[in-house]
Amino acid sequence: MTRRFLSGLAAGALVVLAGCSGGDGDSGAGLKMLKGALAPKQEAKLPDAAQLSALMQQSLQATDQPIVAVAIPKRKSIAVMPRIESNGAYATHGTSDRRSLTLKQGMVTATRGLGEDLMSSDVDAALALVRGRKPGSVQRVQRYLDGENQTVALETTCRVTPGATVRYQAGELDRRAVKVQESCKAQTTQFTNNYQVDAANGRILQAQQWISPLNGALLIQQLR
Amino acid sequence: MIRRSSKIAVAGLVAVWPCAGMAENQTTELTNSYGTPGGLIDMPTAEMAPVGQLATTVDHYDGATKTTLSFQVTKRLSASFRYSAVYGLVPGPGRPAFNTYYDRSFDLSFRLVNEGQYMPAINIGLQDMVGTGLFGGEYIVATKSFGERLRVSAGLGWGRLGSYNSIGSTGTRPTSILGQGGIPTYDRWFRGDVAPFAGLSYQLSDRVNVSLEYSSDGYDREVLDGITTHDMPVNIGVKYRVSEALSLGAYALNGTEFGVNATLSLNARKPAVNGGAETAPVPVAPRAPGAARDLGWTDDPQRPQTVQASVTQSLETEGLRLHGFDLSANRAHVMIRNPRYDMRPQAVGRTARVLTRTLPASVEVLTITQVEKGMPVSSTTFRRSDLERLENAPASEILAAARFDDPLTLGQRPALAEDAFPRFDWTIGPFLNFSVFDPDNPVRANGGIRFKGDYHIGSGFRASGSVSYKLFGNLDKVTIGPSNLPRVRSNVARYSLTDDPTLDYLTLAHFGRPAKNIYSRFTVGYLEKMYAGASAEVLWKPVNSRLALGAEVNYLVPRDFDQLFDTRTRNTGTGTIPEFNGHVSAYYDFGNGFHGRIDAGRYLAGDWGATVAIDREFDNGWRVGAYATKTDVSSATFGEGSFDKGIRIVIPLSWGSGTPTRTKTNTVIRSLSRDGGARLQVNDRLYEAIRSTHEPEMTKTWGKFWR
Repeated sequence: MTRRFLSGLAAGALVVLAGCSGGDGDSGAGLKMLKGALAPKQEAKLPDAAQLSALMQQSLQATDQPIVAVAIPKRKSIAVMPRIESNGAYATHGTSDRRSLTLKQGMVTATRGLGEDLMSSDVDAALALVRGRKPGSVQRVQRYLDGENQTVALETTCRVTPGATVRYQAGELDRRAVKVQESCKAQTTQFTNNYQVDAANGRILQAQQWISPLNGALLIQQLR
Repeated sequence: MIRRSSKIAVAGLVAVWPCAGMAENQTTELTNSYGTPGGLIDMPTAEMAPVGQLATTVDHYDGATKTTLSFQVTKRLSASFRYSAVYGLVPGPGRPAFNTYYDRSFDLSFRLVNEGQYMPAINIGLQDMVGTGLFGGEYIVATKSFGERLRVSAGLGWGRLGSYNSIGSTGTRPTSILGQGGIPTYDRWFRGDVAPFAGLSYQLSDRVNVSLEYSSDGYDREVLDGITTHDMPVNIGVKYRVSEALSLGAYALNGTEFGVNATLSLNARKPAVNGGAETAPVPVAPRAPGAARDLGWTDDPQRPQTVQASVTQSLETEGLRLHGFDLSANRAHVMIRNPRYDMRPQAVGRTARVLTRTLPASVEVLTITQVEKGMPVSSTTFRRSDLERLENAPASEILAAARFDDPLTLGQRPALAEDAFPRFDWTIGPFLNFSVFDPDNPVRANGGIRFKGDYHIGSGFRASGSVSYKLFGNLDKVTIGPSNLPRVRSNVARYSLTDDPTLDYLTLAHFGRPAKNIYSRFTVGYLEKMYAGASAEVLWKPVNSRLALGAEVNYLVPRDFDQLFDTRTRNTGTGTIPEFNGHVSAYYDFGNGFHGRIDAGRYLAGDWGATVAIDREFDNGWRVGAYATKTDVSSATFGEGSFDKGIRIVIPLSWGSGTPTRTKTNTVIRSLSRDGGARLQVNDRLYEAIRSTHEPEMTKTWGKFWR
């Protein structure tokens, strides 16, 4: 992080001189950045159980759309995200401060606005095994932008293993679910995703999926 | 339920970025006392820095302070620029007296052979290869790793690196300086005494590296002038890595001196956040099946206006401006201005998604035209059903389905939005102007406050002005040396004398599209700090071409030193400033990270010649380049440096901030302001204004389309 801070600062120092502007100008980019670099890193405060449950109830009442609770432990952040759009099999959920993620039948295929975003994924084979609660080996592709904004693909081979049956309780849901693990490996990296899949209909109720080094894993729970 | 989240095991997560794992061969982020990549003290190694690494090293021992900027151009090529202050050097006969000798030097190191299982990496290098050559030396060096921690290097050195315990010689090494300095010292390379050197560096821990070397540098000149003594050829050093960006080092030199250094490293390929941390775009809104057949809205004469209003508003949210709008039953054409996104595919991608959410369902073909300087410069056309279908596919698929056109080939331009013209943009803020690494002073600067404004009149016309008020500075102390040419630039200091507000420029410009692939600019008024007059430019650049050709002609009158409204005589005592100058230019993007440019023509002082510029460009907007200008002025007439040359570094602010912005920092390190090979500095030359909106450039960062 220090490197990032310093490089930010170095670039900032060169253009500290942003001042203010009017018209088309994107005002004060330099100042904004410098402030960001100098501001003490605030430890995000996680809501306590009561607050969270109130937030979920409120959100559930506010919309009849599908809705998920999302936690990013590594970033210490939690959000409740209603579905804001659906496109074929893909559902995009978003927050009012414009962070979003896209799910394909409950599995994350893309994120936006988190930084080091997952741009797109090929997960059909993994979806079939996970939803079917069947063991097997599949290929998974996740695409990112690198430091030069070029698309790079992370191709992994994943081993899917169904496990124990558990009770899944969240929001309006109280279901019997099967745990499914997906362990993925590539030459330079490895990660494990964990799912809880509805025992009756194969719906992914909970997904804990690795996204990127900056974000670590996302935990997504269906609330409706 | 969700409370468990923080406790959930993140087993098996590896915090290594999976895609950056491409092993580079025998690399290091350490630099030596000369600021070049390598783990030893004074001696070079065959190590290279990671590609895109820009390291600034400040090194000091009693006898000298060296500030070096090293850049890893490619995997095999490293280039360094150094500015040194040597204390107590005795001037050579006929040279002016000085207390501290300021010297600029330039190094190259090239990887001949990559390291293999048994084969060491081998580099060939030239140190201080241009000009006076105080640090001049050449070498061939091999480095081999033994395990993860130990690296051993050995090599042969010439020049300075062959000055202690030589084992032979290859010819004689001349000592005279070519021209007026500033010329590659090719007559000396690999000539004279040869001596061996060797060293090893050992990585004690993640942060600490120790090194030991046998040095072939006898410090002959320094010893002769009494700056230092040389007791033994062995140096030892230690490096401590404070963070990824900062390293500190200390070393013992020649058995008599103690030195320290600090290195600050940036890497062009490592931005604050890969892909950016900006907020999410709106998603594509797919149409309901069958909805596209509904043309009922076309009967409502008010509908296009309400649609336009909602497009305008949604684009505003994305930081974009609707410039023109045209809507028919199944086509829409929007023109946008983009003050925010440096990666143009992102501006187009966000516009496309806004359109899927705002246009009537029957509209299938969407054309988005980018507008720069009032000119439509690039059009991208999509089928709406492709946007719907490919939103979750790799970005390359929507690229394959997109079409790029010169907006002029698409028929009538859309009707302008009401607020397109007239329009006033302005900024007010502080400024700093630097003059760095002069032969007689490391840094000079002026600072103050500046107001800039652009009044967009319409029909391609624009009035622009800038006023500065200097609050502090010492740029007026820049030496005005002798000149044998009309003083077109060398009296720059006189322009910094005034303490009153100055008019930096005040112009009326016209930007136009006279024909397909052709762009034009005509600027008249107070063009820059030193010159008023008129400047006309024309550029040929097809939207899908990596080649562009341009021409420019200028009529100039020198401005008065107070930079208000007066002009002064063309006669400068050393000659007469000609009325006309101009160039023809060729620009070419080699497509492999290199960009070349040639300008040939008549320069300010009436001299004829050409400028060659090569830039290493990164897709995120970083550029590190060098240029040289040679005109029919002889070295002797040109003066110190023999001909004009420089280095420039462009760093996009978005790289450091992680959010899109078109602001960039532009740093130029160049020869002194002399009169040969000098050009007019008019604003808004065409090529850079349009290039990033064209297909070859957009394609490079197309992944940003869906970001």
